Amino acid sequence: MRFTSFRLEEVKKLLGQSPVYSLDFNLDGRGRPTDGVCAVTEKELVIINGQKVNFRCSLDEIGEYTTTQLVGSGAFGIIRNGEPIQLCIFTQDLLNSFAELGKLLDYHRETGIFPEPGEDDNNIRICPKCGSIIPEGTNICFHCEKKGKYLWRVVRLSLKYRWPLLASLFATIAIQLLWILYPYLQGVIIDDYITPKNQDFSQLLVTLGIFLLIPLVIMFMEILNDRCTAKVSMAVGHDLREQLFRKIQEQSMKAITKRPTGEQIKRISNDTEKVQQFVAMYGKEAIVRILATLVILAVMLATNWKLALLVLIPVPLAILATQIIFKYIHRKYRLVWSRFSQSESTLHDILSGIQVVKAYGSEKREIAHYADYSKRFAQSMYRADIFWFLAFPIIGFVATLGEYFYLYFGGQQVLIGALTLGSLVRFAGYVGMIYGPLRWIIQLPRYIAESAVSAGKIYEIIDEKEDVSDRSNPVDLKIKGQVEFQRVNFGYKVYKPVLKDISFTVEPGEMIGIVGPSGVGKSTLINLIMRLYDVSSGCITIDGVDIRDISQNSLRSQIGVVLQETYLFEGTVLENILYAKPDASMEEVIQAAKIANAHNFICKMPNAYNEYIGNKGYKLSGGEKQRIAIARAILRDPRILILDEATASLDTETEKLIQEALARLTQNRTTFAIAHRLSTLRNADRLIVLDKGRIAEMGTHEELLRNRSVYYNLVMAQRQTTKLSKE
Amino acid sequence: MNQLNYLSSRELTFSLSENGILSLETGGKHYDNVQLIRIFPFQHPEEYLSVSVRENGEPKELGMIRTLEDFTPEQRELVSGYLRYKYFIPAIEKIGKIEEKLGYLYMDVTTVLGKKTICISDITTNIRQVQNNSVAIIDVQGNRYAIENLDALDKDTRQKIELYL
Repeated sequence: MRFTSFRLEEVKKLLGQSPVYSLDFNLDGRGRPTDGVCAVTEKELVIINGQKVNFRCSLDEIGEYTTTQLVGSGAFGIIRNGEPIQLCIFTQDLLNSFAELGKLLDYHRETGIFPEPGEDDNNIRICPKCGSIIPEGTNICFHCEKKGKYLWRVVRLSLKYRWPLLASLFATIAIQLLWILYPYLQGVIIDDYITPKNQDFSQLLVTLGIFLLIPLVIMFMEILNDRCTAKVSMAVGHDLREQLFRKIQEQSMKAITKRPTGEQIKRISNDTEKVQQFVAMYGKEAIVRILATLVILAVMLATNWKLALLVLIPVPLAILATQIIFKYIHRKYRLVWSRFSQSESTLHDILSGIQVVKAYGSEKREIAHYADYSKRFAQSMYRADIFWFLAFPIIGFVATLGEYFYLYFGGQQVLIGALTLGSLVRFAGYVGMIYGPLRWIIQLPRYIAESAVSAGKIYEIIDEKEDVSDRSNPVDLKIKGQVEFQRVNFGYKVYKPVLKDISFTVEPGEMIGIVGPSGVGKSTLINLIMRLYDVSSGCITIDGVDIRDISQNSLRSQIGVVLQETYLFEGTVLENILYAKPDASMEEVIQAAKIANAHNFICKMPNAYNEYIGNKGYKLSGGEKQRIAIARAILRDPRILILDEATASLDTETEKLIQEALARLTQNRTTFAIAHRLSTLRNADRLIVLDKGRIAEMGTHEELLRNRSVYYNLVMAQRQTTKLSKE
Repeated sequence: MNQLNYLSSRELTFSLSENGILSLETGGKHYDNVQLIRIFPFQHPEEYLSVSVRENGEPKELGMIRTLEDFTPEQRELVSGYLRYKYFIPAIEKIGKIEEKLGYLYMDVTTVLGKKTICISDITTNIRQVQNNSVAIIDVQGNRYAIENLDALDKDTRQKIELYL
């Protein structure tokens, strides 16, 4: 990252020395564009606005550096003597740079050393080739990347199935050649046999036999072609779907949540379908038809070059018109794609939240809502199709003008004896044959563009850089359960730290309660233990091994999770419990359900463990779902257990059952439990109290109460609420 | 059950430093680093402003300004200056070339800050029609842009952006 102002020379003159770091800012305190510089010398931090120094402060007086994201801008400031002071304002693109500057100065405050600014992965990068922005989470510059590259990858993927592909290619070429032979034979029959001068019937019969044989061979070739093409296209479609799905499954939570579920489903189903179609129809056919057109052209020119040229006069016109129209049609179909996507997402959203829709009786509003999107999609499709259906016949008309030229001039030549009737008929066949592929080739750009967009969207995900990936030689660790946080800092954005300087050690088998107000970073902390995200600095170790050195599979297979909202998959109770350990025996399943206090209610259902519990387990109550989730966790036998508000929103009776189940589950396992109701954490060995992203205090329930600090206040506030609700 | 505490413009005296720090004198008290929050930034940018201050290190809402129209022109200009930088959203005056590359949109735009090529990811989320006639855009760097009135744009610019609404 660059920490040198564009106005460095002016800054040097103003300060009388060269700054260590200097960074430009571009807004003043009234939101007007300005040329400001935030400069850091060996001793001071100086703010220059225009030509004058606005603020200067000794580095020794600064307690903290702050970078704040405002709504449409950002602000950099310091904390001096406990008082926050805002120093300069800038547009959001400079936010990362100022956050980095803050980090460098923090380092200087602690060590007295001004570190060299490094490259930051989180930072937006610029493409060295075209100067465009390379967005976060990708290494591809989408601006100068060629779309054809992605179709070429589809072709290369198809080559995996080279034998059926070659067979279909051979069959298609044979079909095209036989069709070319057909008019030639027609001409021969007319000129050589259907004339009074030739009475050779036997030779005529042989020729007619060949004439009949051609469609028969074509028929067999088409069967071969269809079978082989279907095989290749289905296999390519399957490969792409699988690759894409695997990649989505392997992605980090951060990468997965950045795209809506509907969008991901569309890429897996619709986009792969389009690419499949490309393989089945357009890719191979394009090569063959272009070749066939060239061969027919050569034959026509050889037969009668003058007539051939007349026929071909309108072709450049048609191609030019196609290119102009294609430019517009692409935009129109892009709009169709976008409207379809919106309509699908809306549908997905409404159906997922159908319970809320019903509860609020807002069916009519949602019908109107969806109808609006559906109408917008239909309108865009209508407009695009209208344009297409208008443009296509016009091009077709221009393109077939050649046929009239051929009839007029060709007929004239036959009458004056310059051309035989057979040659004219043969020519007619070729004219028909050349315009067919030409019309098809005219449509080709549309299909190719659609396929290229789809292929690009698929490969965009497949090529995405993993932000949480295994190191080159990850360890498969048999976890005992010691977890240590060493000066961990983390933020979903570099300028927005969520957890700051977190350090603690948890011994194997300990139960740790994590408490603190909402939004303080409790769930973030457990997400870091599961390595759904990587720490920004510091490290987390399990049994002394950095979790980034442990293979993700090994790590997560030894962590069990019970969340507030349990997600059950469509299927039976048994299938949902087995999800944690597919090879578990029936005895193990029953045992787990018993420990989880789930066995009794399962037995009350008509089909017991084979009871189908519906989509997301809608047939079960919240408490029942929770006990299945606990059974799942028990079956997995994890070394580290995470309970995130596992008993929230349950009635007292159910909570008792679940508390019992959890007490059995947490025995001898390192457990991290988050709970709003502090009474549920009374059994914890120690409590970690988070406040403003930092550890405010740590200790047992009694110790913390004696401290009369953050935890004490939380407990008192909660007692007050309980008392009030009882009153 | 009226929980809205509207603050009277007569009781509030704002001041704004060169660095954009907003201070407030009210009820004999002085507050620095005052935050104003637009509750309905799209529908009512100059109305329903929440006034938040820090007391004992914790943010606290003092109350709400119903409308800036009640303030003196000087006070209004001062508060508008603060809101202008906090909600810095340059208006797009013209759109030049638009290129879509694999789901990312590269758009040449002209704003008060000059000409610039912006890159937008996840088009459906980051280009949104917020009112009948206005559009909010967020680029990959987090910069916000606005088209305040679609009808006021030249035909070419309007047609280009309509493709993504």
